[in-house]
Amino acid sequence: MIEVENLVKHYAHVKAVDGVSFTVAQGEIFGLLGPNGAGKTTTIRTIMDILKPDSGTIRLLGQPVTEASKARIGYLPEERGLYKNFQLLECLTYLAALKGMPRKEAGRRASALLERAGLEEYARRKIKELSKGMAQKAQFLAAIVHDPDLLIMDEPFQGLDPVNTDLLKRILLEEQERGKTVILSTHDMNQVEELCQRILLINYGKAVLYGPLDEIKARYAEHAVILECDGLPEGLTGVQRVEQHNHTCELVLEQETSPQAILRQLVAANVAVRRFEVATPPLEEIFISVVQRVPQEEVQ
Amino acid sequence: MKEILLVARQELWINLRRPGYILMTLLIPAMGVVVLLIGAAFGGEVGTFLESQFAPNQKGIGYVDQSGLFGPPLPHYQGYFTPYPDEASARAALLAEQIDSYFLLPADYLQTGQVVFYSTGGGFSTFAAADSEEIRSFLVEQLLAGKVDPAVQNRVRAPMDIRAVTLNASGEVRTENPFSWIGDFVVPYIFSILFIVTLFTTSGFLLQSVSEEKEGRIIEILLSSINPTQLLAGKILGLGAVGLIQVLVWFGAGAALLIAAVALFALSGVINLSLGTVALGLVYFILGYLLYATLFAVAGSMGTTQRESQQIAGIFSLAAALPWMVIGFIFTNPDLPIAVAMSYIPLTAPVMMLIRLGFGQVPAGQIALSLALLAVSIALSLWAGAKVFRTGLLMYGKRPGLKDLIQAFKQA
Repeated sequence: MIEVENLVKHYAHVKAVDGVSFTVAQGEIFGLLGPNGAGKTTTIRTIMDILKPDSGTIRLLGQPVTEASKARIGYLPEERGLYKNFQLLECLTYLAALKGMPRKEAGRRASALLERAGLEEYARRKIKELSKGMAQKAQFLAAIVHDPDLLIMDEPFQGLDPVNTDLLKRILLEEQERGKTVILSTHDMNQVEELCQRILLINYGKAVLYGPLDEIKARYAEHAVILECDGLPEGLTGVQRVEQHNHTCELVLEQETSPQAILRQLVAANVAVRRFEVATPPLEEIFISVVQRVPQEEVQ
Repeated sequence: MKEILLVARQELWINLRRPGYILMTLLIPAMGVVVLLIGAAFGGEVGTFLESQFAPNQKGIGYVDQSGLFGPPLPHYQGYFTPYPDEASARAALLAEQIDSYFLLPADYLQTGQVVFYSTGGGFSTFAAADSEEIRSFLVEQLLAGKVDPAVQNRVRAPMDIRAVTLNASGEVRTENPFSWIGDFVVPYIFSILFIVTLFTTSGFLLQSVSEEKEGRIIEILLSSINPTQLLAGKILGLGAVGLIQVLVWFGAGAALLIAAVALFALSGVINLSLGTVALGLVYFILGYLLYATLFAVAGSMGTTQRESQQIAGIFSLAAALPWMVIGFIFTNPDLPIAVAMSYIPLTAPVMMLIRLGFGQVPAGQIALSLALLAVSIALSLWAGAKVFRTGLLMYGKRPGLKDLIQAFKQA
């Protein structure tokens, strides 16, 4: 769907994006991750042709991005805002028309989406009269109202309650089922684990992690099990240390011990086990460790 | 092009709905109607009424004649001018509010011409009363009474009664009409003011619309759909239409009012506004709008908030205000060198030319040169403006510095 090759973008003093390459396949949800100021927004803006790259190529369906192909992208920017004095329906229709959709069709689709998002009563209300959550949903709809093939979403669920987060997630997954491609940029690693098939993590403008989420998690898997039970039996062998969490504990295993061996010991000790899980680190931990490691490598 | 029209249409639609715009567009014709109705209702009495409002003296004026030259007041001055034997009694009368003021004619009046004027008002009212025609006439008549022929006396009092004759280029006398000054001066002057008002309200709308989009963070969505040049062009076009509609409404209403005035007061030759002048005014209006709209849009893109943008735009507004500062001199001489110079400087040219066109003929050569300079500067500002616009729009929380602007020029 989209190929980015060796993208470089400088601002006056800062190298915002420094040789980033990645591809996004059609129909996948791709996570674009990185700490604040890593260069995510700059990368997105160059894809959207809002900024011109210093060097590197961006190809959309094998073609350079043009005015016409931009219409096939839907963009939810990190900086939120819609016309405060416009009526909701009018605003969505106008934005879709700017993307080249005929006005009538734009109006129909905007109405349908408002209904899908439970905002149909507010279609004739001015945007400044909407609550923050509603405005956020409206912003999300503005990004997909022209039925784009590629959705670029920067923190789409920020500031939403769980019900609305779930609603927008479902809409996003429906779009994926319809064959649409999604680039999702977020700081919420749980959402990435839930939604994304592949990810790119950038830091200081450079790609530091790139690939399928499963592979990355497997690569960073620790030798540990997560356990939820009533008290650990005395004298477990092969355990390096125990980390106690709220309801669970994590057993970090010695090199030669297999998780299976631990389970056998627990069964033998007749412990009531409510949960037993081979630990893969949460993406959040991988994120933090990778992001903190990079500056030192830079120094070397 | 389709995108430009879409943006233009949206801007037109949104701004036509602004209450401030609707009010302004309707208020000016409404004021004209009110003035016309007042005029119709009171007819010739309006002048008398106004005069009585501005006349400084109501109760009369006292005088103390120490020179012995003036004697008692002539019959037609009696009751208004009251002689007092000495200053103390005159002062007492003034403080008792029997008179508004009094003046003292010293013993050496004939040699010095000095008159001391006393009043309680002070400030401008004193100045106006002391300079008044009636005291002057009183002194002349009292001094000359019985000594010279009344006709001579009248000429001394009022040595000239001017009847101005204006010749056109071929030396013919232009037809005179007691009200022709309305057509020659007032109407073009009002129209030039209205032009300028519209020019700046519309450019102001443009600034507002750009900063709203920037402040409201909608700009990024817009730029993901269309490019900055299209956005800028669409806005200038749409808001230009908004301004043009206002001007046309005012012109239409103005024309209707003038026709009504002619019918009501049986005036003739009042409408002296040549179509050529109106057309030229329209050209200056459109060019002036293009220049200021571009500059205001750029200012809007540079400021982080609307207030900041307005401060930047204030620099340009100041240039536009300059012609008003010399307007007093243009009254007497529309071809003043500074007026001509300002007709060539693009930032002041539209306003200056609109004012000068209101006052009378402007040489064709000056118009041609000023239009050419204006056109060149519009092209330049559009070219540079589009680049700054692009850079400024995406910089939130920070105004683009010189470095950013230079980079913008290199890139785009």
